[in-house]
Amino acid sequence: MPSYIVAGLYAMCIAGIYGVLYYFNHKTPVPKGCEDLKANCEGCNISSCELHPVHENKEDLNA
Amino acid sequence: MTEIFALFVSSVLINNIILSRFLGICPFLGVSKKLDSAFGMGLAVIFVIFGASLMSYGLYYLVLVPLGIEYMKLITFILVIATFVQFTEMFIKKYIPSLYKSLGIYLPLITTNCAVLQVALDNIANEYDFINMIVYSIAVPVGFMTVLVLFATIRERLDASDVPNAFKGNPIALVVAAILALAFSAFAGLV
Amino acid sequence: MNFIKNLKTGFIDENPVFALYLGICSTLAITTSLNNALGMGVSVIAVLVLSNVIISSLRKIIPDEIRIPVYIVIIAGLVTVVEMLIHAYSPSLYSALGSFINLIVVNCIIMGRAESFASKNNVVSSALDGIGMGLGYTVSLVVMSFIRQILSTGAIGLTNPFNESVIFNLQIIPEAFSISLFKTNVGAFLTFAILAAALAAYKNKSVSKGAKK
Repeated sequence: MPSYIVAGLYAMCIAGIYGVLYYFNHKTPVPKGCEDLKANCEGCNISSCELHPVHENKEDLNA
Repeated sequence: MTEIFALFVSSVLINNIILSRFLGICPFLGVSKKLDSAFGMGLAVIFVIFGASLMSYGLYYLVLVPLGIEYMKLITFILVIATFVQFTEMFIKKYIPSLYKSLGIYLPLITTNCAVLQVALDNIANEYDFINMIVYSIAVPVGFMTVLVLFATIRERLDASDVPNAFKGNPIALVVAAILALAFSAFAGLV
Repeated sequence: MNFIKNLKTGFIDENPVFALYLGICSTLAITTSLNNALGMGVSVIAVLVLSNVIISSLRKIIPDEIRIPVYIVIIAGLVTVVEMLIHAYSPSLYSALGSFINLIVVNCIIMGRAESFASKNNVVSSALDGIGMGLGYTVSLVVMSFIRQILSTGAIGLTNPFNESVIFNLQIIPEAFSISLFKTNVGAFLTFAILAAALAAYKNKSVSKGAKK
């Protein structure tokens, strides 16, 4: 078998494992008492990141 | 033995991953506001770097080299790191909720931490044997945590000081990093 | 007019490096010379445009739950291709940039644009967004490397990365007055801090101007 086919199959394999784990991890519920943990990361100014503190203010405004 | 000790000291202090190799700057600036979050992030990084490097090293020499597809190493390593983070997060969510409370929020931040990928790549590029690989994969994140915690203690004081308007936030943090880097450059002749 | 306004947003107000703090690691590390900055900038533009185009053309096929794994695979594949091309055609650039070519994978600019722009917009505007953001990044790298190279060696120059011929080399400050500190990691942090503060000062000023009006 040529190496690029092996490489393609191999990439699909590990990407598949990651995809499955990612899916299951996001289905696993967050344990009790950890629902409102916040990292408050300000390393970058991307406000679309869920860890950016900007979102706290938004929730306050809605409430 | 001395060789291993030299590798450890040089990876922690001299070639410090943040100050002299500029990796992992985002979490360095992002989660250094408080001492306990710096501790949490540091511990999570130690765990992930060690686990992910071990798995990447194994996959490279046991799968990629025999199959002759070494050029797939970048894709492999980034996926191994991401998978490892997902698995760890799922595991501690389910079985160790108390640990999740203190480390869980930092785990998703680590996937895109360039220090993790760099350690996995270094282990291959420097052709480390198994023992050197283990030492290196522990020493680098220990150096990361050392600087992160040092920096967090300084930053807590920084909040109380009067900083020029334009320098508020990250710029002054980077000035502090420059001074720390200057201090750490004194370690250069150690080994 | 609109185009110029967009350009200004990309370069100043939302400058990816000095205002949004994206891709700082590679910025600090490789801005020791103009050559490295341009090489890195072009590589990032290539990866960013291609990943934006691929992701926006696949945006209706990729299931929402596993979109991030798919993005990572696409970006890692593209970076591997770019790395191989640089290795083959410009060994000098390859050794100068070192593993920072690989680290483009975890450069937040690319993932950030994929997630916030390419996954919601059509192919053409995603490609344009990639070019704009990539140019903003490249310009920031060039500015910073310009300052560091002039202060640390007193000269500014450019060599052709494919055949090593010198394009130009100007000695601006006599070599005796160069500050080698700016070549080191300390200089990298300082230069970055001052540029970021300068941008913040400029933005603060224009905000207070707007408030007065």
